Amino acid sequence: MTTPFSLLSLLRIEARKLTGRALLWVEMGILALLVVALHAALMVALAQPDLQGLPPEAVEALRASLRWPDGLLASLSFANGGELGGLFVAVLAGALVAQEYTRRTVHFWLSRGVGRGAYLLAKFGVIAAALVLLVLTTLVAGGAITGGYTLHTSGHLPWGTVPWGRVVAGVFKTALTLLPYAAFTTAIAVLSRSTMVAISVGVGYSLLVENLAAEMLMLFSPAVARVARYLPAMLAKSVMQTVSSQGASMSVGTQTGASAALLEPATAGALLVLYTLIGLAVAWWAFRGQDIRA
Amino acid sequence: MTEPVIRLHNLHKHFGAVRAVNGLNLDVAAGECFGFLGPNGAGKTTTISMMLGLLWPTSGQVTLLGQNVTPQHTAVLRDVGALVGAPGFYPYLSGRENLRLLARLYPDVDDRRVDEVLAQVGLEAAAARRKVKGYSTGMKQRLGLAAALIHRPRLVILDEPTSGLDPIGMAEMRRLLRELADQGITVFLSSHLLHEVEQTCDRVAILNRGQLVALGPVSDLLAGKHDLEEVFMAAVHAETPSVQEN
Repeated sequence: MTTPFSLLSLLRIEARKLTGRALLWVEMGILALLVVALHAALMVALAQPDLQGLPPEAVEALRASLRWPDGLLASLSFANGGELGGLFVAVLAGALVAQEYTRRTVHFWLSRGVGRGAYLLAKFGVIAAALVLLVLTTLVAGGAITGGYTLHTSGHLPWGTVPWGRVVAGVFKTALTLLPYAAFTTAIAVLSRSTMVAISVGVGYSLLVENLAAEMLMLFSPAVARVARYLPAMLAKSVMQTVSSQGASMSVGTQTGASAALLEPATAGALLVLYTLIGLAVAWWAFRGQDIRA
Repeated sequence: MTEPVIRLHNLHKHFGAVRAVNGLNLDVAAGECFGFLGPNGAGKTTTISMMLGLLWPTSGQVTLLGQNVTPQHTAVLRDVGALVGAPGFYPYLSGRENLRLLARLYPDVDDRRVDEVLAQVGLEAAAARRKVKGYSTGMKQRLGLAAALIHRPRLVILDEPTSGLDPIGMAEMRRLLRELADQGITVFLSSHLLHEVEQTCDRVAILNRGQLVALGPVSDLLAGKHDLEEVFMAAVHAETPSVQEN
Protein backbone atom coordinates (compact mmCIF):
# COMPACT_ATOMS: atom_id res chain seq x y z
CA MET A 1 0.00 0.00 0.00
CA THR A 2 1.37 3.39 -0.98
CA THR A 3 1.74 5.84 1.87
CA PRO A 4 0.43 9.39 1.42
CA PHE A 5 2.75 12.39 1.38
CA SER A 6 3.42 13.94 4.78
CA LEU A 7 1.62 17.15 5.69
CA LEU A 8 4.96 18.54 6.80
CA SER A 9 6.48 18.19 3.33
CA LEU A 10 3.40 19.84 1.82
CA LEU A 11 3.68 22.72 4.30
CA ARG A 12 7.35 23.16 3.36
CA ILE A 13 6.41 23.24 -0.31
CA GLU A 14 3.65 25.81 0.27
CA ALA A 15 6.01 27.93 2.37
CA ARG A 16 8.60 27.91 -0.43
CA LYS A 17 5.95 28.84 -2.99
CA LEU A 18 4.83 31.75 -0.80
CA THR A 19 8.27 33.12 0.03
CA GLY A 20 9.48 32.70 -3.56
CA ARG A 21 6.97 35.17 -4.94
CA ALA A 22 6.98 38.94 -4.63
CA LEU A 23 3.36 39.32 -3.48
CA LEU A 24 3.92 38.64 0.22
CA TRP A 25 6.94 40.96 0.43
CA VAL A 26 5.17 43.71 -1.50
CA GLU A 27 2.14 43.47 0.80
CA MET A 28 4.36 43.62 3.87
CA GLY A 29 6.16 46.65 2.45
CA ILE A 30 2.94 48.51 1.61
CA LEU A 31 1.43 47.69 4.99
CA ALA A 32 4.54 48.94 6.79
CA LEU A 33 4.51 52.17 4.77
CA LEU A 34 0.82 52.74 5.51
CA VAL A 35 1.31 52.15 9.22
CA VAL A 36 4.23 54.57 9.32
CA ALA A 37 2.38 57.16 7.20
CA LEU A 38 -0.80 57.02 9.30
CA HIS A 39 1.14 57.30 12.55
CA ALA A 40 3.20 60.16 11.14
CA ALA A 41 0.04 62.00 10.06
CA LEU A 42 -1.39 61.67 13.56
CA MET A 43 1.87 62.87 15.09
CA VAL A 44 1.91 65.91 12.82
CA ALA A 45 -1.73 66.65 13.65
CA LEU A 46 -1.04 66.45 17.38
CA ALA A 47 1.85 68.83 17.03
CA GLN A 48 -0.48 71.59 15.79
CA PRO A 49 -1.31 74.26 18.37
CA ASP A 50 -5.01 74.30 17.40
CA LEU A 51 -6.58 70.85 17.81
CA GLN A 52 -10.09 72.02 16.92
CA GLY A 53 -11.30 72.21 20.45
CA LEU A 54 -10.45 68.66 21.48
CA PRO A 55 -10.59 68.31 25.25
CA PRO A 56 -7.13 68.00 26.84
CA GLU A 57 -7.90 64.45 28.07
CA ALA A 58 -8.64 63.30 24.53
CA VAL A 59 -5.43 64.88 23.25
CA GLU A 60 -3.44 63.20 25.99
CA ALA A 61 -5.10 59.84 25.21
CA LEU A 62 -4.11 60.20 21.56
CA ARG A 63 -0.55 61.12 22.52
CA ALA A 64 -0.39 58.09 24.80
CA SER A 65 -1.52 55.89 21.91
CA LEU A 66 1.54 57.04 20.01
CA ARG A 67 4.00 56.33 22.82
CA TRP A 68 5.29 53.08 24.18
CA PRO A 69 3.87 50.91 25.69
CA ASP A 70 0.35 51.78 24.46
CA GLY A 71 1.57 52.66 20.97
CA LEU A 72 3.06 49.26 20.49
CA LEU A 73 -0.25 47.50 21.19
CA ALA A 74 -2.35 50.11 19.38
CA SER A 75 -0.35 49.65 16.19
CA LEU A 76 -1.68 46.11 15.93
CA SER A 77 -5.15 47.49 15.31
CA PHE A 78 -4.13 48.51 11.77
CA ALA A 79 -3.80 44.88 10.78
CA ASN A 80 -7.07 43.57 12.19
CA GLY A 81 -9.73 42.05 9.98
CA GLY A 82 -12.10 45.00 10.14
CA GLU A 83 -9.37 47.42 9.02
CA LEU A 84 -6.53 47.26 6.49
CA GLY A 85 -5.78 43.62 7.26
CA GLY A 86 -8.94 42.30 5.60
CA LEU A 87 -7.95 43.87 2.27
CA PHE A 88 -4.41 42.54 2.33
CA VAL A 89 -5.58 39.07 3.29
CA ALA A 90 -8.18 38.98 0.50
CA VAL A 91 -5.51 39.80 -2.10
CA LEU A 92 -3.02 37.32 -0.67
CA ALA A 93 -5.39 34.37 -0.21
CA GLY A 94 -7.14 35.01 -3.53
CA ALA A 95 -3.86 35.02 -5.44
CA LEU A 96 -2.34 32.06 -3.62
CA VAL A 97 -5.32 29.78 -4.13
CA ALA A 98 -6.78 30.84 -7.48
CA GLN A 99 -3.48 31.17 -9.33
CA GLU A 100 -2.89 27.47 -8.79
CA TYR A 101 -5.82 26.95 -11.18
CA THR A 102 -4.93 29.62 -13.70
CA ARG A 103 -1.30 28.49 -13.83
CA ARG A 104 -2.41 24.83 -13.95
CA THR A 105 -0.13 24.01 -11.04
CA VAL A 106 -2.96 22.43 -9.07
CA HIS A 107 -2.88 19.62 -11.69
CA PHE A 108 0.82 19.27 -11.02
CA TRP A 109 0.30 18.33 -7.37
CA LEU A 110 -2.96 16.40 -7.52
CA SER A 111 -1.82 14.22 -10.43
CA ARG A 112 1.08 12.93 -8.39
CA GLY A 113 -1.00 11.72 -5.50
CA VAL A 114 -1.20 14.72 -3.20
CA GLY A 115 -4.55 14.32 -1.45
CA ARG A 116 -7.01 17.15 -1.94
CA GLY A 117 -7.63 17.52 1.80
CA ALA A 118 -3.93 17.64 2.61
CA TYR A 119 -3.32 20.09 -0.23
CA LEU A 120 -6.01 22.49 0.98
CA LEU A 121 -4.93 22.14 4.61
CA ALA A 122 -1.28 22.89 3.77
CA LYS A 123 -2.32 25.82 1.60
CA PHE A 124 -4.46 27.34 4.35
CA GLY A 125 -1.85 26.58 6.99
CA VAL A 126 0.70 28.66 5.11
CA ILE A 127 -1.83 31.43 4.47
CA ALA A 128 -2.45 31.52 8.24
CA ALA A 129 1.31 31.79 8.83
CA ALA A 130 1.42 34.64 6.30
CA LEU A 131 -1.27 36.44 8.32
CA VAL A 132 0.98 36.31 11.38
CA LEU A 133 3.78 37.80 9.26
CA LEU A 134 1.50 40.65 8.16
CA VAL A 135 0.55 41.34 11.77
CA LEU A 136 4.20 41.25 12.81
CA THR A 137 4.92 43.76 10.05
CA THR A 138 2.48 46.25 11.56
CA LEU A 139 3.94 45.60 14.99
CA VAL A 140 7.49 46.22 13.81
CA ALA A 141 6.59 49.28 11.70
CA GLY A 142 4.26 50.69 14.35
CA GLY A 143 6.73 49.81 17.10
CA ALA A 144 9.54 51.59 15.26
CA ILE A 145 7.69 54.83 14.64
CA THR A 146 6.03 54.97 18.06
CA GLY A 147 9.38 54.04 19.60
CA GLY A 148 10.98 56.97 17.78
CA TYR A 149 8.18 59.26 18.97
CA THR A 150 8.58 57.99 22.53
CA LEU A 151 12.33 58.59 22.39
CA HIS A 152 11.75 62.06 20.96
CA THR A 153 9.18 63.07 23.59
CA SER A 154 10.54 61.38 26.70
CA GLY A 155 14.19 60.74 25.90
CA HIS A 156 14.13 57.01 26.58
CA LEU A 157 12.30 53.78 25.66
CA PRO A 158 10.40 52.26 28.59
CA TRP A 159 11.30 48.63 27.83
CA GLY A 160 10.44 47.55 31.36
CA THR A 161 6.85 48.79 31.16
CA VAL A 162 5.99 47.02 27.90
CA PRO A 163 3.58 44.13 28.62
CA TRP A 164 5.38 41.67 26.33
CA GLY A 165 2.95 38.86 27.11
CA ARG A 166 0.06 41.04 25.93
CA VAL A 167 2.01 42.01 22.84
CA VAL A 168 2.58 38.37 21.88
CA ALA A 169 -1.05 37.49 22.63
CA GLY A 170 -2.09 40.57 20.65
CA VAL A 171 -0.25 39.35 17.57
CA PHE A 172 -2.17 36.07 17.61
CA LYS A 173 -5.50 37.71 18.46
CA THR A 174 -5.05 40.11 15.54
CA ALA A 175 -4.20 37.20 13.25
CA LEU A 176 -7.37 35.46 14.49
CA THR A 177 -9.45 38.40 13.27
CA LEU A 178 -7.99 37.89 9.79
CA LEU A 179 -8.72 34.18 9.51
CA PRO A 180 -12.40 34.42 8.42
CA TYR A 181 -11.39 36.74 5.56
CA ALA A 182 -8.72 34.28 4.45
CA ALA A 183 -11.14 31.33 4.65
CA PHE A 184 -13.89 33.22 2.84
CA THR A 185 -11.54 34.27 0.02
CA THR A 186 -10.13 30.74 -0.20
CA ALA A 187 -13.65 29.38 -0.66
CA ILE A 188 -14.41 31.96 -3.38
CA ALA A 189 -11.11 31.14 -5.12
CA VAL A 190 -11.89 27.41 -5.15
CA LEU A 191 -15.46 27.96 -6.31
CA SER A 192 -14.59 30.47 -9.04
CA ARG A 193 -11.08 29.22 -9.99
CA SER A 194 -10.42 32.84 -10.93
CA THR A 195 -7.86 35.15 -9.33
CA MET A 196 -9.78 38.23 -10.44
CA VAL A 197 -13.11 37.01 -9.02
CA ALA A 198 -11.57 35.82 -5.73
CA ILE A 199 -9.73 39.06 -5.07
CA SER A 200 -12.60 41.28 -6.24
CA VAL A 201 -15.16 39.48 -4.07
CA GLY A 202 -12.80 39.31 -1.09
CA VAL A 203 -11.77 42.97 -1.26
CA GLY A 204 -15.32 44.06 -2.16
CA TYR A 205 -16.71 42.25 0.83
CA SER A 206 -14.11 43.62 3.19
CA LEU A 207 -14.23 47.15 1.87
CA LEU A 208 -17.86 47.68 0.89
CA VAL A 209 -20.30 44.96 1.86
CA GLU A 210 -19.37 44.74 5.53
CA ASN A 211 -19.40 48.48 6.02
CA LEU A 212 -22.53 49.02 3.94
CA ALA A 213 -24.29 46.10 5.57
CA ALA A 214 -23.47 47.47 8.98
CA GLU A 215 -24.62 50.97 8.05
CA MET A 216 -27.85 49.66 6.55
CA LEU A 217 -28.59 47.51 9.55
CA MET A 218 -28.22 50.60 11.73
CA LEU A 219 -31.12 52.21 9.88
CA PHE A 220 -33.52 49.56 11.06
CA SER A 221 -34.73 48.95 14.57
CA PRO A 222 -32.17 48.37 17.36
CA ALA A 223 -33.10 44.69 17.31
CA VAL A 224 -32.14 44.43 13.63
CA ALA A 225 -29.05 46.53 14.21
CA ARG A 226 -27.86 43.94 16.71
CA VAL A 227 -27.30 41.63 13.77
CA ALA A 228 -24.36 43.85 12.79
CA ARG A 229 -22.54 42.63 15.88
CA TYR A 230 -22.14 39.27 14.18
CA LEU A 231 -20.31 40.64 11.15
CA PRO A 232 -16.63 39.62 11.14
CA ALA A 233 -15.51 43.26 11.25
CA MET A 234 -17.51 43.85 14.44
CA LEU A 235 -16.26 40.62 15.96
CA ALA A 236 -12.72 41.75 15.13
CA LYS A 237 -13.35 45.06 16.92
CA SER A 238 -14.56 43.18 19.95
CA VAL A 239 -11.45 40.98 20.04
CA MET A 240 -9.16 43.95 19.44
CA GLN A 241 -10.58 45.68 22.53
CA THR A 242 -8.70 43.12 24.57
CA VAL A 243 -5.47 43.93 22.73
CA SER A 244 -5.48 47.69 23.11
CA SER A 245 -7.93 50.12 24.62
CA GLN A 246 -6.41 52.73 22.31
CA GLY A 247 -7.08 50.62 19.25
CA ALA A 248 -10.38 52.26 18.35
CA SER A 249 -8.86 55.70 18.20
CA MET A 250 -6.10 54.44 15.89
CA SER A 251 -8.35 52.58 13.52
CA VAL A 252 -9.17 53.59 9.99
CA GLY A 253 -12.10 52.54 7.82
CA THR A 254 -15.49 51.68 9.25
CA GLN A 255 -16.79 53.71 12.16
CA THR A 256 -20.02 51.77 12.47
CA GLY A 257 -18.65 49.67 15.30
CA ALA A 258 -18.86 52.66 17.59
CA SER A 259 -22.64 52.68 17.34
CA ALA A 260 -23.21 48.97 17.65
CA ALA A 261 -22.83 47.23 20.98
CA LEU A 262 -20.13 44.64 20.57
CA LEU A 263 -20.27 41.03 21.69
CA GLU A 264 -18.11 39.73 24.50
CA PRO A 265 -14.54 39.20 23.23
CA ALA A 266 -14.59 35.47 24.05
CA THR A 267 -17.84 34.99 22.15
CA ALA A 268 -16.51 37.10 19.28
CA GLY A 269 -13.33 35.01 19.15
CA ALA A 270 -15.32 31.79 19.10
CA LEU A 271 -17.49 33.13 16.26
CA LEU A 272 -14.41 34.14 14.26
CA VAL A 273 -13.16 30.56 14.58
CA LEU A 274 -16.58 29.27 13.56
CA TYR A 275 -16.70 31.53 10.49
CA THR A 276 -13.22 30.35 9.53
CA LEU A 277 -14.27 26.71 9.81
CA ILE A 278 -17.40 27.38 7.75
CA GLY A 279 -15.31 29.06 5.04
CA LEU A 280 -12.88 26.17 4.99
CA ALA A 281 -15.70 23.63 4.95
CA VAL A 282 -17.20 25.32 1.87
CA ALA A 283 -13.77 25.36 0.20
CA TRP A 284 -13.23 21.68 1.02
CA TRP A 285 -16.70 20.67 -0.14
CA ALA A 286 -16.18 22.44 -3.47
CA PHE A 287 -12.61 21.21 -3.96
CA ARG A 288 -13.43 17.62 -3.06
CA GLY A 289 -16.02 17.23 -5.78
CA GLN A 290 -14.32 19.40 -8.35
CA ASP A 291 -13.46 18.15 -11.83
CA ILE A 292 -10.11 19.65 -12.73
CA ARG A 293 -9.89 19.57 -16.51
CA ALA A 294 -6.51 19.33 -18.12
CA MET B 1 -1.41 -13.31 -16.88
CA THR B 2 -0.03 -10.96 -14.23
CA GLU B 3 -2.18 -8.15 -12.95
CA PRO B 4 -2.25 -5.26 -15.43
CA VAL B 5 -0.52 -2.02 -14.46
CA ILE B 6 -3.45 -0.06 -15.91
CA ARG B 7 -7.03 -1.35 -15.91
CA LEU B 8 -9.92 0.78 -17.11
CA HIS B 9 -13.23 -0.94 -16.51
CA ASN B 10 -16.41 0.26 -18.19
CA LEU B 11 -15.27 3.85 -17.76
CA HIS B 12 -17.73 6.63 -18.51
CA LYS B 13 -17.44 10.39 -18.27
CA HIS B 14 -20.29 12.65 -19.25
CA PHE B 15 -20.22 16.45 -19.31
CA GLY B 16 -23.92 17.23 -19.41
CA ALA B 17 -25.21 15.68 -22.62
CA VAL B 18 -21.70 15.11 -23.98
CA ARG B 19 -20.39 11.58 -23.52
CA ALA B 20 -16.66 12.26 -23.52
CA VAL B 21 -15.77 8.70 -22.55
CA ASN B 22 -18.32 5.98 -23.12
CA GLY B 23 -17.73 2.52 -21.67
CA LEU B 24 -13.98 2.25 -22.06
CA ASN B 25 -12.29 -1.05 -21.14
CA LEU B 26 -8.53 -1.33 -21.35
CA ASP B 27 -5.68 -3.31 -19.78
CA VAL B 28 -2.01 -2.36 -20.06
CA ALA B 29 0.63 -4.84 -18.89
CA ALA B 30 3.81 -4.07 -16.97
CA GLY B 31 6.71 -2.89 -19.12
CA GLU B 32 4.58 -2.10 -22.14
CA CYS B 33 4.94 1.04 -24.17
CA PHE B 34 1.28 1.65 -24.98
CA GLY B 35 0.03 4.15 -27.55
CA PHE B 36 -3.30 5.87 -26.96
CA LEU B 37 -4.57 7.47 -30.15
CA GLY B 38 -7.62 9.32 -31.28
CA PRO B 39 -8.75 12.42 -33.13
CA ASN B 40 -9.32 15.72 -31.32
CA GLY B 41 -12.21 15.40 -28.89
CA ALA B 42 -12.04 11.60 -28.84
CA GLY B 43 -11.75 11.54 -25.04
CA LYS B 44 -8.02 10.84 -24.64
CA THR B 45 -7.23 13.69 -22.25
CA THR B 46 -10.46 13.09 -20.35
CA THR B 47 -9.47 9.44 -19.89
CA ILE B 48 -5.99 10.40 -18.72
CA SER B 49 -7.44 13.02 -16.37
CA MET B 50 -9.59 10.32 -14.76
CA MET B 51 -6.54 8.05 -14.50
CA LEU B 52 -4.74 10.83 -12.63
CA GLY B 53 -7.57 11.60 -10.21
CA LEU B 54 -8.31 15.00 -11.72
CA LEU B 55 -11.81 14.12 -12.94
CA TRP B 56 -14.50 12.05 -11.27
CA PRO B 57 -15.70 9.24 -13.55
CA THR B 58 -19.44 9.28 -14.17
CA SER B 59 -19.22 5.52 -13.70
CA GLY B 60 -16.70 2.74 -14.07
CA GLN B 61 -13.36 2.17 -12.47
CA VAL B 62 -9.72 3.13 -12.92
CA THR B 63 -7.12 0.79 -11.40
CA LEU B 64 -3.43 1.69 -11.51
CA LEU B 65 -0.74 -0.60 -10.08
CA GLY B 66 -3.50 -2.65 -8.44
CA GLN B 67 -5.19 0.25 -6.65
CA ASN B 68 -8.41 2.08 -7.49
CA VAL B 69 -8.02 5.75 -8.40
CA THR B 70 -10.61 8.47 -7.90
CA PRO B 71 -10.04 12.13 -6.97
CA GLN B 72 -10.58 10.92 -3.41
CA HIS B 73 -8.11 8.00 -3.63
CA THR B 74 -4.89 9.06 -5.29
CA ALA B 75 -2.12 7.70 -3.06
CA VAL B 76 -1.01 5.21 -5.75
CA LEU B 77 -0.17 8.15 -8.04
CA ARG B 78 2.95 8.59 -5.94
CA ASP B 79 4.43 5.81 -8.08
CA VAL B 80 3.19 7.35 -11.32
CA GLY B 81 4.81 10.07 -13.40
CA ALA B 82 2.53 12.17 -15.58
CA LEU B 83 2.58 14.93 -18.12
CA VAL B 84 -0.87 16.16 -19.08
CA GLY B 85 -1.42 18.90 -21.63
CA ALA B 86 0.65 22.06 -21.24
CA PRO B 87 2.44 21.54 -17.92
CA GLY B 88 2.01 24.26 -15.30
CA PHE B 89 4.95 25.60 -13.32
CA TYR B 90 5.67 28.50 -10.99
CA PRO B 91 6.86 31.24 -13.37
CA TYR B 92 8.77 33.14 -10.69
CA LEU B 93 11.01 30.12 -9.99
CA SER B 94 13.66 28.69 -12.28
CA GLY B 95 13.19 25.31 -13.93
CA ARG B 96 15.61 23.78 -11.48
CA GLU B 97 13.86 25.42 -8.50
CA ASN B 98 10.51 24.08 -9.72
CA LEU B 99 11.97 20.58 -9.72
CA ARG B 100 13.60 21.09 -6.32
CA LEU B 101 10.20 22.18 -5.00
CA LEU B 102 8.70 18.99 -6.33
CA ALA B 103 11.59 16.96 -4.92
CA ARG B 104 10.51 17.97 -1.41
CA LEU B 105 7.69 15.45 -1.80
CA TYR B 106 10.14 12.58 -2.16
CA PRO B 107 12.71 11.95 0.58
CA ASP B 108 14.91 9.91 -1.78
CA VAL B 109 15.12 12.61 -4.47
CA ASP B 110 18.11 14.91 -3.94
CA ASP B 111 19.74 17.74 -5.91
CA ARG B 112 21.91 15.26 -7.81
CA ARG B 113 18.80 13.50 -9.10
CA VAL B 114 17.33 16.88 -10.09
CA ASP B 115 20.40 17.63 -12.23
CA GLU B 116 20.42 14.09 -13.61
CA VAL B 117 16.82 14.24 -14.82
CA LEU B 118 17.32 17.73 -16.26
CA ALA B 119 20.20 16.35 -18.33
CA GLN B 120 18.10 13.32 -19.28
CA VAL B 121 15.43 15.52 -20.89
CA GLY B 122 18.00 17.76 -22.55
CA LEU B 123 17.44 20.90 -20.50
CA GLU B 124 20.86 22.49 -20.21
CA ALA B 125 22.16 23.78 -16.90
CA ALA B 126 22.03 27.43 -17.99
CA ALA B 127 18.43 27.06 -19.19
CA ALA B 128 17.45 25.26 -15.99
CA ARG B 129 18.69 28.25 -13.98
CA ARG B 130 16.42 30.67 -15.85
CA LYS B 131 12.98 31.58 -14.56
CA VAL B 132 10.21 29.50 -16.15
CA LYS B 133 8.32 32.62 -17.26
CA GLY B 134 10.96 32.96 -20.00
CA TYR B 135 10.65 29.37 -21.24
CA SER B 136 9.45 28.37 -24.69
CA THR B 137 6.69 25.75 -25.04
CA GLY B 138 9.29 23.12 -25.88
CA MET B 139 11.36 23.95 -22.80
CA LYS B 140 8.28 23.73 -20.59
CA GLN B 141 7.49 20.38 -22.18
CA ARG B 142 11.00 19.11 -21.38
CA LEU B 143 10.67 20.38 -17.82
CA GLY B 144 7.28 18.68 -17.58
CA LEU B 145 8.84 15.41 -18.62
CA ALA B 146 11.63 15.89 -16.07
CA ALA B 147 8.96 16.44 -13.41
CA ALA B 148 7.22 13.25 -14.51
CA LEU B 149 10.42 11.21 -14.22
CA ILE B 150 12.11 12.77 -11.20
CA HIS B 151 10.90 10.19 -8.66
CA ARG B 152 11.68 7.14 -10.85
CA PRO B 153 8.03 6.12 -11.31
CA ARG B 154 6.91 2.60 -12.21
CA LEU B 155 4.32 3.95 -14.64
CA VAL B 156 4.61 7.01 -16.87
CA ILE B 157 1.50 8.60 -18.40
CA LEU B 158 2.20 11.16 -21.10
CA ASP B 159 -0.34 13.27 -22.95
CA GLU B 160 1.13 14.79 -26.10
CA PRO B 161 4.69 14.91 -24.72
CA THR B 162 6.20 16.09 -28.02
CA SER B 163 3.88 19.06 -28.32
CA GLY B 164 6.04 22.15 -28.91
CA LEU B 165 9.23 20.17 -29.51
CA ASP B 166 11.35 20.59 -32.62
CA PRO B 167 12.28 17.50 -34.73
CA ILE B 168 15.46 16.95 -32.72
CA GLY B 169 13.48 17.17 -29.50
CA MET B 170 10.94 14.69 -30.87
CA ALA B 171 13.68 12.22 -31.78
CA GLU B 172 15.19 12.60 -28.30
CA MET B 173 11.78 12.04 -26.76
CA ARG B 174 11.28 8.84 -28.77
CA ARG B 175 14.67 7.58 -27.64
CA LEU B 176 13.86 8.45 -24.03
CA LEU B 177 10.52 6.65 -24.15
CA ARG B 178 12.18 3.51 -25.55
CA GLU B 179 14.81 3.72 -22.80
CA LEU B 180 12.08 3.89 -20.18
CA ALA B 181 10.31 0.88 -21.65
CA ASP B 182 13.61 -1.01 -21.81
CA GLN B 183 14.07 -0.31 -18.09
CA GLY B 184 10.76 -2.06 -17.45
CA ILE B 185 8.81 1.15 -16.84
CA THR B 186 5.32 1.05 -18.27
CA VAL B 187 4.70 3.94 -20.65
CA PHE B 188 1.19 5.11 -21.58
CA LEU B 189 1.57 7.55 -24.44
CA SER B 190 -1.21 9.67 -25.88
CA SER B 191 -0.25 11.38 -29.10
CA HIS B 192 -1.49 12.76 -32.38
CA LEU B 193 1.78 11.83 -34.04
CA LEU B 194 1.08 8.41 -35.52
CA HIS B 195 4.58 7.95 -36.85
CA GLU B 196 5.96 8.60 -33.39
CA VAL B 197 3.63 6.03 -31.83
CA GLU B 198 4.33 3.48 -34.57
CA GLN B 199 8.06 3.77 -33.89
CA THR B 200 7.82 3.78 -30.12
CA CYS B 201 4.91 1.66 -28.92
CA ASP B 202 4.29 -2.07 -28.58
CA ARG B 203 0.50 -1.86 -28.59
CA VAL B 204 -1.98 0.86 -29.40
CA ALA B 205 -5.58 1.71 -28.70
CA ILE B 206 -7.57 4.05 -30.91
CA LEU B 207 -10.37 6.01 -29.31
CA ASN B 208 -13.13 7.76 -31.21
CA ARG B 209 -16.10 9.62 -29.70
CA GLY B 210 -15.25 8.19 -26.31
CA GLN B 211 -15.24 4.58 -27.46
CA LEU B 212 -12.48 2.14 -28.26
CA VAL B 213 -12.44 1.47 -32.00
CA ALA B 214 -9.17 -0.42 -32.33
CA LEU B 215 -6.82 -2.19 -29.96
CA GLY B 216 -3.89 -4.49 -30.49
CA PRO B 217 -0.15 -4.90 -31.05
CA VAL B 218 1.23 -2.42 -33.58
CA SER B 219 2.55 -5.26 -35.75
CA ASP B 220 -0.90 -6.93 -35.86
CA LEU B 221 -2.75 -3.72 -36.66
CA LEU B 222 -0.28 -2.93 -39.41
CA ALA B 223 -0.87 -6.29 -41.13
CA GLY B 224 -2.01 -5.55 -44.69
CA LYS B 225 -1.79 -1.81 -44.08
CA HIS B 226 0.76 0.71 -45.27
CA ASP B 227 1.28 2.51 -41.96
CA LEU B 228 -0.44 3.42 -38.71
CA GLU B 229 -2.11 6.39 -40.36
CA GLU B 230 -4.03 4.03 -42.61
CA VAL B 231 -4.99 1.94 -39.58
CA PHE B 232 -6.06 5.08 -37.76
CA MET B 233 -8.17 6.43 -40.60
CA ALA B 234 -9.84 3.08 -41.15
CA ALA B 235 -10.57 2.70 -37.43
CA VAL B 236 -12.10 6.12 -36.86
CA HIS B 237 -14.27 5.82 -39.95
CA ALA B 238 -15.28 2.18 -39.41
CA GLU B 239 -18.73 1.29 -38.11
CA THR B 240 -17.53 -1.76 -36.19
CA PRO B 241 -14.61 -1.68 -33.78
CA SER B 242 -11.47 -3.67 -34.48
CA VAL B 243 -10.29 -4.79 -31.10
CA GLN B 244 -7.74 -7.57 -30.81
CA GLU B 245 -7.29 -8.82 -27.27
CA ASN B 246 -3.94 -10.41 -26.40
